[in-house]
Amino acid sequence: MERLVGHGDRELVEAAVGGADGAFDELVRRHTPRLYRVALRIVGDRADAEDVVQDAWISAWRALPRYRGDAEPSTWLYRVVTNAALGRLRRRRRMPEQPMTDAAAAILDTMPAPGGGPEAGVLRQERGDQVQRAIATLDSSQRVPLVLREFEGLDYEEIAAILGVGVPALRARLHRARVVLLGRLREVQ
Amino acid sequence: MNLDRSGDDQVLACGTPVGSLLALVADRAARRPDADSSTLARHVSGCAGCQRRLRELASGWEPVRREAAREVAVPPNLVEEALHGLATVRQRETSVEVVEAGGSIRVSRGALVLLVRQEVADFAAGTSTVGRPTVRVSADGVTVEVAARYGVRVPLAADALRRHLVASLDEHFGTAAPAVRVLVTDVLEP
Ligand SMILES: [Zn+2]
Repeated sequence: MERLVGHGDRELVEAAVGGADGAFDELVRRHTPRLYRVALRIVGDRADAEDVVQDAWISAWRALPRYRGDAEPSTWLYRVVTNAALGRLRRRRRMPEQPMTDAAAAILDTMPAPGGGPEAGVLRQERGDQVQRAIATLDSSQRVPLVLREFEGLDYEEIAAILGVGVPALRARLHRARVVLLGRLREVQ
Repeated sequence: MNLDRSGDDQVLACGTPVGSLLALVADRAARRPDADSSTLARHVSGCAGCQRRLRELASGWEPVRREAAREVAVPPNLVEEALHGLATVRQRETSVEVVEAGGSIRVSRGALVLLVRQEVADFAAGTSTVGRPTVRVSADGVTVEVAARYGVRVPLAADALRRHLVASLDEHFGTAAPAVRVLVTDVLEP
């Protein structure tokens, strides 16, 4: 098979639109970690995040015939995974309430070894736990831009494009999200 | 201080909204300074009230910054699982079921695309009327997009290619052959 590793994302998407399954598979290899990270921050549960990633790739593949190249592939993929994660949150809301069991553990069990001995590690774990729990209390219209900004480090223009809103509206949402998040963190400290 | 409900409307004595200071803190934490923040940053460097509040906000935001800096481990089999799930959906949604006397078989989209490409190449070699095709397979059948050579009468060339492909697919799949559509989408310059 042709080596695809050196190809840019745009070339891969265009090849995939033309029916090259191998090109799409290369996108999957390349972007799955990022999609998982975003999904996990939004849905807060490891198993759900894995399902979201799976759903996202299937949606992306089904949407290929409609891909027009007006968005960067990464923007398009962020949009797809964000929508998949929101879909998962909506479905979960219709089911009996599930506690956010797994969220902190999923994120924390990969923490680098703490420098300050076991106590510092535990403390850091609790803080990370608190952040993730506080994020989980945010409304999804605040949570998604917050994750894309604070955790993915995307700029305002790209997040606005992903969410299909204007930059001023995005600023307002992020502003609110940060204030609420900070307030929640203060409540637990 | 309760930032949760009314804090985003709070304005310091110097006129700076607390929310803007928080944006400054968060943007710096994300290492992606925002263009709008430079004016505010200049003000803050000369305003003791803002500096005090900025320090408070920065210490409150520290857990978020640390959380964002940490690597999230990706489940080791996730890529393989995604590829596998995708392959299953692809197979289900894009293979073509061909019913023959002895039962039915599924022909993958990839195999069908290769076959049609080869047939177009044979046709092009024989007639010099068309170039490389783009082949798509959907539930409706096969769509072939080609460029016609300059000077070729497009409807005739498209129809001749379509009939060539229909004959070839009939030969392979009999009455179960998928439908074929040929679109001339471009002209090859001489
Ligand atoms: Zn000030």
